[in-house]
Amino acid sequence: MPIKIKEQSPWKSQVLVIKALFKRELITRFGKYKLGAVWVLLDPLLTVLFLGLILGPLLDRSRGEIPYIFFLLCGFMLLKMVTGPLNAGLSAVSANQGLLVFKKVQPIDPFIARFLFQLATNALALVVFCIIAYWIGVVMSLEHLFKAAACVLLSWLIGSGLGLQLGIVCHRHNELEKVVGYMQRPLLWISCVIHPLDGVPPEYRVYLLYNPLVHTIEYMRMCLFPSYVVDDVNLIYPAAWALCVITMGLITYRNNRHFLTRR
Amino acid sequence: MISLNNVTKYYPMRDGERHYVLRNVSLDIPSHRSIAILGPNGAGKSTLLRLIGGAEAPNEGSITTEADISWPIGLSSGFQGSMTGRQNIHFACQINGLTDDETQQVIDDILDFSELGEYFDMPIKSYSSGMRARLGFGLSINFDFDYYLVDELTAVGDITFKEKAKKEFKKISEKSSLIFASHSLNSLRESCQSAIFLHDGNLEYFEDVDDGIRAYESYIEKKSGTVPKKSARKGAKKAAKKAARKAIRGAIKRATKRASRSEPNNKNEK
Repeated sequence: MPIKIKEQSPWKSQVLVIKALFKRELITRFGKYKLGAVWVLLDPLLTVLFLGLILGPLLDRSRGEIPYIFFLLCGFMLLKMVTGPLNAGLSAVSANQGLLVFKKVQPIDPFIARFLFQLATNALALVVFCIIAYWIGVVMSLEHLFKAAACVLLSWLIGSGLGLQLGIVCHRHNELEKVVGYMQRPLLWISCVIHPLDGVPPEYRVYLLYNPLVHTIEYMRMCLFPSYVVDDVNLIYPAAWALCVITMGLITYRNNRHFLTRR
Repeated sequence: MISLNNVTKYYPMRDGERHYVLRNVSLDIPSHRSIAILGPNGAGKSTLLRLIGGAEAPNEGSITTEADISWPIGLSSGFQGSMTGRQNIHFACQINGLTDDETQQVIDDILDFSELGEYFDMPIKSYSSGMRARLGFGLSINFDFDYYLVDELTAVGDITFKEKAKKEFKKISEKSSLIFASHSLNSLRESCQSAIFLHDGNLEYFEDVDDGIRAYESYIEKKSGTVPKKSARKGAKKAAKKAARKAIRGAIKRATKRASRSEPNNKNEK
């Protein structure tokens, strides 16, 4: 007996679609590995360990009482909060083309599902790392937990806005995908991931502060580690960035939404 | 009823020109009639179905309807290659708000209909086109629509699937309608009452499917420049049928030989 599809409100229908797409991400991301979801933790941990082993002895290790690895982890996870959604956005449409025949699946849905997936996995990893740090005796404060969460969310929002915008633009002009790849290379060096802002000569600090990631990363360290103090950073600047890139992303989406459904 | 109001659809080409699929077309597609979509290759039959199904939007004009319309049921559409058949079905059920019980019921039914067996839990990209067709068709007949959009589905199926599909088409046409794009004129004649002939950016509606097919045939003849005589055509048809039968027999022989040879290998691959 065929089933009659029930009429649903647009909101509920979209929630259903995003849930289904989120599940699809889970399956395709982790389904092929034997260790499955453990890679959420292993991936950043291994990267940071390698980086720490190479860079640790080179750079001055005394950052208050923070071990360099956790200093690095903190920056690296926030960097992933930006590059994760950005790169997920680049292939969001092409990886879900087959599912766009369903009228209920609009091209923005794979974007949203992928961004949420990045937020969930990276936030989970960050929480686990914080617990580990706390457990092995790194001095941390939970006083500014809300501000720390704001740093994470702002980084993610910036990444999502860029991911939406660049995903659509790269879908139109394939060459740009390469350019976006190269543009991401220096991010590790200009976002205060591997060194503190204090380590930069004051005359160059001004330029680094144009990067919103510097603000969120350094602010987050300040929130989590009470012994770590930075001047000049705030959350208003990255919030303004997030607002701008998301608005631009949504405008780009609105102008291109018919183009994206085309096969 | 489905109303096309001044619909224009085009695709930009490499040199900046536009390839028009529909040019300012208005047409009411009546309900409770199964409709054949006719047209030469590349005329835009699949695009028309995607427009009606809402998978794509027209550049100008609008398509309005109160009816429940299926997604285009075709070979390439509706499935994600990296997911298994079961996961794809789960996805389709979930976005349409089915309960777990209903989903299980749909899955059981599709397993029975599609005869995919172990392949149901393999990624879709490992399917043959016939298997894809079986899965896609099995999925959509589990839902109750007013219109079912079918895009060249039966062309790739084997005899069993064709028989099954014919039966399902009959069931569908009892209370819903079929909008069926195909190059197989015989199956169109069998399952449709009316026809829409799509050519050069225009839609022509024919109340009787045979009139539509005649118009389509004469269009093709005009385009190819040669008008073969009726008798000559008949003779050619006979010869072609004979040759086809011979070829099929040969192919079956070869295939059975190959199958018996490669059976042990197949097991290893799995």
